[in-house]
Amino acid sequence: MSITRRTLFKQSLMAGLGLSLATPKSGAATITAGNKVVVTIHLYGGNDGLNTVIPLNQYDRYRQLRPNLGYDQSVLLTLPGQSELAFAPGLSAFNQLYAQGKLAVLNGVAVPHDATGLYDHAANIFSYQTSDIRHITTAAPPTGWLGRYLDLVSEGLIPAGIDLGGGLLPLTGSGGFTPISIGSIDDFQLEISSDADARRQSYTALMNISNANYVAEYNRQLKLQSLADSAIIQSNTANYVPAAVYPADNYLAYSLLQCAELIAGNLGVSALTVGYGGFDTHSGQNGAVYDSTLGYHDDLWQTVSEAIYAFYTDLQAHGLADKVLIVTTSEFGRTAYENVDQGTDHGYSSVAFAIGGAVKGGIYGDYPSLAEADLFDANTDLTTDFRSVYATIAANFLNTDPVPMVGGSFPLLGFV
Amino acid sequence: MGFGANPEALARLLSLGWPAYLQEQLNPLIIDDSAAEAMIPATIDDWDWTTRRQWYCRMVYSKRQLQEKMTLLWHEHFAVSNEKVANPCFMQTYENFLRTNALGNFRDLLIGMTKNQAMLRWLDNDYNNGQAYDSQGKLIPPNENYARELMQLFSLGSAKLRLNGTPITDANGIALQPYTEIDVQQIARAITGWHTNYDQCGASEGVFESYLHDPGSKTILGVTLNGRSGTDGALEVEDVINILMGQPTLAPYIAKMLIQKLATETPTKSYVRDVAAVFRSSNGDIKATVQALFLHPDFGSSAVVRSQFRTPLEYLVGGLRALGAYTEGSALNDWGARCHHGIYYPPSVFSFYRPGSKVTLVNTSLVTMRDRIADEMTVSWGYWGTYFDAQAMITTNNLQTPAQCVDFLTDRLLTASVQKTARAQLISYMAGQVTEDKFRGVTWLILCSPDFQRN
Repeated sequence: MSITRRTLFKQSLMAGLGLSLATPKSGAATITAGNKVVVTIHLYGGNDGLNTVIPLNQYDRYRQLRPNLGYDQSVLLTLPGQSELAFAPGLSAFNQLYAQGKLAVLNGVAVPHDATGLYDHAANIFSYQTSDIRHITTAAPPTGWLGRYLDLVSEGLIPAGIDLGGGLLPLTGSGGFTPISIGSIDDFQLEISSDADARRQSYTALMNISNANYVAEYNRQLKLQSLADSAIIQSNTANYVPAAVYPADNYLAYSLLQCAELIAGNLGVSALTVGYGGFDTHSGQNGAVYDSTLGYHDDLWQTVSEAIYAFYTDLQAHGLADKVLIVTTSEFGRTAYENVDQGTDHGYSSVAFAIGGAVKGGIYGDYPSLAEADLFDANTDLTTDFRSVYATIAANFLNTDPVPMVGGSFPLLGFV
Repeated sequence: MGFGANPEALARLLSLGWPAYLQEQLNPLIIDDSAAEAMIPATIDDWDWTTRRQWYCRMVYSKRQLQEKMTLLWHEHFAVSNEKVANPCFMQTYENFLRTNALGNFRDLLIGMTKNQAMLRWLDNDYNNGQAYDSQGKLIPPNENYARELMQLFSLGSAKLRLNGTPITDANGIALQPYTEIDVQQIARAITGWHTNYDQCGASEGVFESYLHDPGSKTILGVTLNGRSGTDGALEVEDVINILMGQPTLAPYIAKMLIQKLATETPTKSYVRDVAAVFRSSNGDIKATVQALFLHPDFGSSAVVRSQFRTPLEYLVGGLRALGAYTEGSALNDWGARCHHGIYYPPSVFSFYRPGSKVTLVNTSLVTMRDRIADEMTVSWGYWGTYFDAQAMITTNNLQTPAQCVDFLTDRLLTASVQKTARAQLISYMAGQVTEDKFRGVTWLILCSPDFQRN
């Protein structure tokens, strides 16, 4: 692996932070940047899987657990050719993707029982981002499940991993690339109101003076990288015309539009992390939402599913759908029983979705049993280790060995 | 120790000396702050736009800089968002409670936050019913949101700690948990009974109703409470907080957090141990603890001084203070949010950043955002009414050459010597001209410079 500007950046940064740099692996960088793209959408707060995909074949028990929060059967969206499960009303856009055979429902997804901090937001987010379920932190800084893949990806025009709200850690590898963060492409450039040429010139010159203080140096390196990357990103995304209508007032849709621009810009982006919050529904889970006929949690899902639908449709129109795989995750599900505040507390397994041109639509993994004896700490139990989801993406979509990415061998699910 | 010095604070520090200046800051009520109060915008409506502007102006103008810094610190620690509270009056009452108790006792903070109306709304302890039964007569478990965060974030953290702040692990190197799920559920029961009262939004405490309280016995962290009924049920909050205050992990957890926010994100074990010992022996006296933190030899060490990441508000407020800028807070409302540090709106109970992770507020997106804001901070027409008077600065300080301008500004903004190559670059930018525009440009460059990003 040749020493590039980015590896130099990484080395100087790590040295500045007193961290040791892993030796680049021989035979690394064998995968072409931007060939395949994984987009993760983390639903922060812990999504209530039981009120996202509803088990029609356990409906009476479902209503016993959810006398107030449970949906009436008449409002549920049935899936074509499928009688056991139905979607909550807010997921109508997902129903269309399911009908197109481009959406996989992944049931009973969770970290395994022996993971650290089962009901702790931060602990589970860490598990999902790193695949390290026991949080055994050694001297080496943690790396992300996608970061360990990006270590194998060749250098594109910008770093292959971009955080748009889903975190840098999932994209952080042990050497090679340093992922970057972008809030909005428009804002990812300097704004200079007066004397612009002279100021920009001096700014660039200042950022090329190294600094012995590590905080200053860390900032300097970030600014240098931002300068270089923003110039390329601005020029390669300037002419992008979306081919789908992204819903207005929908922040996730806005983030995904940025993803589409970056993917279509031929920049060599191979993984993007996106996030959307509000799923920690301890109270008023079905409460009224201004300007919506749906309850709070269902309205969230309308936002999420419509955003993903627009993104997928846009990618498809640009001929990019087959090389992009979208997967949703959430740190945990919610208690099977509703609580006294018309809400649900931190639970265990939840539902995940995979969307993309390469996805084989359908239902994967058993829906957890709601029988009292089958509950785990009063929550729906795991039927699908989240690492199986990752391993499937690694083996069947990225065509790479899942073991280093996921930290072991796990059954593949076949959704791609 | 505050948001960065303005010329007045620097003069005060130089005239009193560090120990006396610290004593003054630790006792904010002895500081006459009427000049700052005169700069606080009037309450013109009941929107949080107004109350947030008032708080931002206190950060910029107050001479009680440590108190303001601590108020923000406790807001970050006990993160509450008006996104859900949706009541600016509750939020300002919460803010004022934090300010009043900023250097008080930690036990009072825990009790006050548990009963606080904004917090009741935020973490779902509002009308949390401990006596609700389902159709089969089975007790419906109460909402456990607050109970969990009370331990995980507000008092104990996620690992048992030694006094020096290092985690206690099992044979496999896995950190021992300081509490169990059962403890969460039991605390949730003990603190049922409270609700908010909009008509009394100026009162920090909500209302206790015994009919909402579960009076049964509970075992929390190995301590059994017999339970209290009637109006005495309210006292179970104190019972719970007393149990938490007795946990050995609490002192190092809070001491380390304070050090990470006020001094260094990578403290030595002895720094944590010494500060935690003071916290413990003083029964959670924040003033004594913070004093020990600032007087510790590590605080003045070269590894700590000017070697910390500036948080967005330290950057923004620090910049305005150093420039002697005028603001009525609106710009900070906008800038704070764009830098992911907008008061009243932390993204979740996990706050703007975790202790020890100021670096998460510094990434390619956010450093670029800061530089865009630095442009807005220095434009001649101001930004949302916030501006600094460049021409007056040039005239008053008799700055006649680019070198004088650069030396004056780097002294003001960086309070440290600047590298020769950087100084030469800044001077060359001015191209021999001492004009207002060049002066503003060089100010922008210094605000963007890597050295202004550290504290």
